[in-house]
Amino acid sequence: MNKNNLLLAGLIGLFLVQLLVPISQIISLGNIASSGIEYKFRVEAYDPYDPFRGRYLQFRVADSHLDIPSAMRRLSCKPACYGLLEKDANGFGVIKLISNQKPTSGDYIVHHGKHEYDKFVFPADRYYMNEKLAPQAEQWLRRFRDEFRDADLLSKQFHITARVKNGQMVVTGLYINGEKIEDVVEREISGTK
Amino acid sequence: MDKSQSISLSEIDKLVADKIITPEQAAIMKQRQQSTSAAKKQNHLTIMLAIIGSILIGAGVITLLAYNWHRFPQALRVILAFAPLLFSHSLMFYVWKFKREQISWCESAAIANTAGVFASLALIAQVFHLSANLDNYFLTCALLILPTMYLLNAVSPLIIYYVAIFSWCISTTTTSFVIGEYLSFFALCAGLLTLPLIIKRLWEKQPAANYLSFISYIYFICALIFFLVQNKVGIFPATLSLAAISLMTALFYHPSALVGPFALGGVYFYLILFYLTKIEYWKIGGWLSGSDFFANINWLAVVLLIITIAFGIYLINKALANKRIFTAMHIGIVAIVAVLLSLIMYWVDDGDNGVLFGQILANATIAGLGCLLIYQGYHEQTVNKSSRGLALICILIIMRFIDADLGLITKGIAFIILGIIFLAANYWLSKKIKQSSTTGSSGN
Repeated sequence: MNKNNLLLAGLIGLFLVQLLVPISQIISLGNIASSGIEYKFRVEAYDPYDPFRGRYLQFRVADSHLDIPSAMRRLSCKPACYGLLEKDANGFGVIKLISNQKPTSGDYIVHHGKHEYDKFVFPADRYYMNEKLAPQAEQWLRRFRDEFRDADLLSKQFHITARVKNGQMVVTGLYINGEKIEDVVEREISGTK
Repeated sequence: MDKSQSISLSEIDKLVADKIITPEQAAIMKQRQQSTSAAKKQNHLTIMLAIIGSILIGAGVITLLAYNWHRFPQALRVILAFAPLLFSHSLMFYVWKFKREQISWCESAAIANTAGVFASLALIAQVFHLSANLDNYFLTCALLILPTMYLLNAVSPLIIYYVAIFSWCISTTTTSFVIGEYLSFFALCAGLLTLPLIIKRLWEKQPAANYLSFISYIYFICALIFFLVQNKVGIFPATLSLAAISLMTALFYHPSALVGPFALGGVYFYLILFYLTKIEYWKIGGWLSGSDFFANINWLAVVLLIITIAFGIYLINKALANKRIFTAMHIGIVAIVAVLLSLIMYWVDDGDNGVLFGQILANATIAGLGCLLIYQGYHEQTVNKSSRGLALICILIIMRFIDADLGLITKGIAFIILGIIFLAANYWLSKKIKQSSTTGSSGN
């Protein structure tokens, strides 16, 4: 094989590898998004900015496991810890058990990390939005915060939907009072015009 | 044309004056010289413009898509996520097929591919609202663009590669269970992966040699310090030894360079020395580990000290063989002082007399090196070196005056006198050097 062919083979190999990495991500995430079990989680949200990947609303899944003893909550996640999921009476996802052992049945979320946590750290904490909509959404959030100063009341206004499969979760939507945030914000923008 | 073999325009005039070449030949040589340097400048400009152009086009396309992004269905967004990558692949293939010999095309295609990889992975993260941390994203992108640099013989994405790898290593040390020693070793290995490319480019004297030397030097110094610190070698002795090695390299291989990467690293050695001339500074910022060095021996620290000494001895021998006595003395002082000060840092604690010894050693070394440079400049008839020596001594005296408990008026007068002495000594030295060079040339 001469140098030219070798270079061409290298180039094709590189193209394949560079395409395979995102394709494998899409297959894995798409599989979770399409066939994972859907859960709703109450969240508290605020708006930061990622210089590389754009604007997103950062959220934190609100206390969904308060009934777990504090000793268990401070479990070290080495090499991983698993949060067993269940739905509460209102249909929202809650963590029922945190363990270093992989659950044999039921849905769970896996977390890898260095520190011990007071709360189970969910692997999803951002919801990407359009550059134009995100600032409007942020204004909404501020208004809601002013209106509902109580954190518990605030978290009752927001929830995310996510699909969960094999310990991974993919966020599919962020809702305010049961309505998708994009629709709320778009209506707000068109109403002010 | 090789830079070392090129001839300046003033030298051509001198050749005409000495009747070595005719004015006609001189005119041809000048024309040739000017056209070569103009072509070089043009080449650099073309590369820069091509890179900036690629970045702007990529940014423009991304911005246009971003405006309507949320309106697209998920399937379309996933397909569009591949667009930057596929565009960069077609550009790379075109460059490989038709423009392989043109550096500007290769560099542009490599930058386009880098942007394509970063953009595609970022868009997928957006589509699925991924929370994966920024550093993992950087690492994946860095590893994917490394082969691009080799296949296109392009170095413009190198800085992105280094920043991505290093930030991942530093961040992962604090957030994950991966052991710091392994991460720092990975940082070194990831740097080594780029070495063949860098050596090839420097060896072939292709454009961007300065850019390459600087960024690779900075990366390797940072990676080495990270490696040493993760392996429990104190950050200060590690930095001091690396700065000493840098200074010795600059003294031997690039004695006239003031802004080369090794020379800049060498300047750091002097800065540390000045810092250590005051006893209070030794006691703040964790300079002293105070552990029993020989009881809790750290073999990596020992190896670093041995390398400093061995490299010093090697360069001293080479300098002596080339009859560069002053360079040999300078290198010898730097190596010994670096090792002694490092030992004090490992060994001594706050209340020990060793700190006092370290302080005296730092002061004496600066004064000694200053005198050596002044004498070397006078002996070799280079005002530049003498001025550097004078500057070292002046800064030292000023620092000690600032420390001393003297009134502002006394300090002011002392500084004025010092300034006058500095200027007078500089003037006297240049005059002496000029005189002896005139005598020498008339004698010849």
